[in-house]
Amino acid sequence: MSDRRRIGIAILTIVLAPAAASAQQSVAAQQARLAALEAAANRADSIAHRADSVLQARRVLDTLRSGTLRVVTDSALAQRVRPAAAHAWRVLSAHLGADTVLLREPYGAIANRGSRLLPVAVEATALIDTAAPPLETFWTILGVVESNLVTRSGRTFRSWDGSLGFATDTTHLFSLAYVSLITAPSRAARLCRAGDVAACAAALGLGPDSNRAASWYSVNDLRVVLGRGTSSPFARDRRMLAACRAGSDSACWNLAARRGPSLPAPLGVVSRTSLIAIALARGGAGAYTRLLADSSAPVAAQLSSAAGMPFDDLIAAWRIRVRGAAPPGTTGAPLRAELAAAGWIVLLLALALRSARWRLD
Amino acid sequence: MFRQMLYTQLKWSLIALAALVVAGFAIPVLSVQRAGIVQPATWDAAVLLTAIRGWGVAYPILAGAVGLVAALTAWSHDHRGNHVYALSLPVARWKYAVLRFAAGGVLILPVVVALWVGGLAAGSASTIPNGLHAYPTALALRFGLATFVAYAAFFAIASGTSRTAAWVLGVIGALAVVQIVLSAAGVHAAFLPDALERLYTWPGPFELFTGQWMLINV
Repeated sequence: MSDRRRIGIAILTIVLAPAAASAQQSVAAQQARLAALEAAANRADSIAHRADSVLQARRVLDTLRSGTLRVVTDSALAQRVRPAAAHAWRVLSAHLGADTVLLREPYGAIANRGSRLLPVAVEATALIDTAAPPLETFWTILGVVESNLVTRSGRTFRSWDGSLGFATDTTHLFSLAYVSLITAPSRAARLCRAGDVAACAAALGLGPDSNRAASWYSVNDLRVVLGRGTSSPFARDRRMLAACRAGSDSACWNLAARRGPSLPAPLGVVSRTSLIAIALARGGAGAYTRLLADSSAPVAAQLSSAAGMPFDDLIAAWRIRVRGAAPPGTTGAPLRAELAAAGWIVLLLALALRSARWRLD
Repeated sequence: MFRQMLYTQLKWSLIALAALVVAGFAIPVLSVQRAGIVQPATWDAAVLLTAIRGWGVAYPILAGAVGLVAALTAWSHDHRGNHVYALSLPVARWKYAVLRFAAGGVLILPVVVALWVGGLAAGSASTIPNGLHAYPTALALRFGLATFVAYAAFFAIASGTSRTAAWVLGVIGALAVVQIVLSAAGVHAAFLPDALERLYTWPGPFELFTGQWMLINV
């Protein structure tokens, strides 16, 4: 055997020996090893708890007040959180008006690194990224308050997927809602555009629960909608989608039925947030309180209560507002700008004709 | 005489104008390049509109560039020759300036046409989501008008003497310096932003340049 072969065998022996030994380990030995690991994990957990308790005992908290908004935070974070909370309060009070009483319980703000718990009861806790720009802290606090109010409005409302729109410019919101309404590949959205209020409600996911797919989409719409997103992990779904695209109407309807509640409604979060904005604006003082009053009620009833008007009237008002919110300044310029431009061209040419010292006449 | 002027101005500006014609065709085509590749079903219309809006900045910039090139090339040789050629011609100065202006205006048209054709090609080649439409003609008309405004402004400045142009630029620069000094001194007198706003809002000459320039829209 050559030296080279001998060295090769020696290396193979060194590498493979532990693996062979491991393979021969009995089940009992492996169980013992698992038990030892669990014991070590428990010890580490216990030490971590003790360390956390010591840290909690040493923790110094500040309660920052801006209007009725109270934010409990670590003293070390107070300097960062105070201006953000004040800014958040200005936005919240502008939206909520007299309903700022809803912010009765304090909110928490803790650093995203370190202990996740505050030793006091809070409504919800904001995780502050201490490395982010100060404005990020404001958005985080505002987002937590908004999310908390949505949560308090009930499970049905929360799962309906609307937002209170505290952080959204209303004009931009309705402009986006207009784009959604115009571009949604949906039978209900088309009927809504034509003035069918019931279809608007259906497109917003607020219609009757029965046969939703048929009320939302035509079969051609389904070919577009079902093809969106990632492909299904199930071969049967993929086959049905292929058949649907190839022209089989029954495959489209069957696939839509299989999707069930995960089949998206034609008008999503932007449109829904715009509907909430209309309801709250129409409702005036106390609208937020009424929205949160009955968290077990259907979303339509909650919105109607917040707006202080029948649900159909609310949807009709939403439709009119959205239809009037086409994005500004599209491709063609306004006529007055074109006329002004023509006038300026003539004026500038006249100036060009008059200037210069080398005039001949 | 007009044909001769057109020929000479074309000769002076041929390379720059050719590049601008290519840009005029390319911008609308590039603005929809993603729409042509991705299946329309996966498009969120708002995302597409945002992408198109992003490209919208290129149109007024191109309009300004075309106006500048056409105006400067119309007068640069006259300035270089101290206007001896113009003085030797048996035409009034105003008539000479009108001919120069008209020749430059004709040279602008190929860029406008290229942008229109590019818009038509982009609109027909890309798959546009339901509810959105391409507006190549409206875009080209707006571009043409904006280009003529820029051309007229630069033409008026360039038609004077070099001293006139220096005065215009000098006054603008001096205003900017005064504004900076006042701002640094903590004096709240934002006259320069106000003046600029007047240029870009009705009835200012450049209102056409503002707003959204979108080949595809609702």
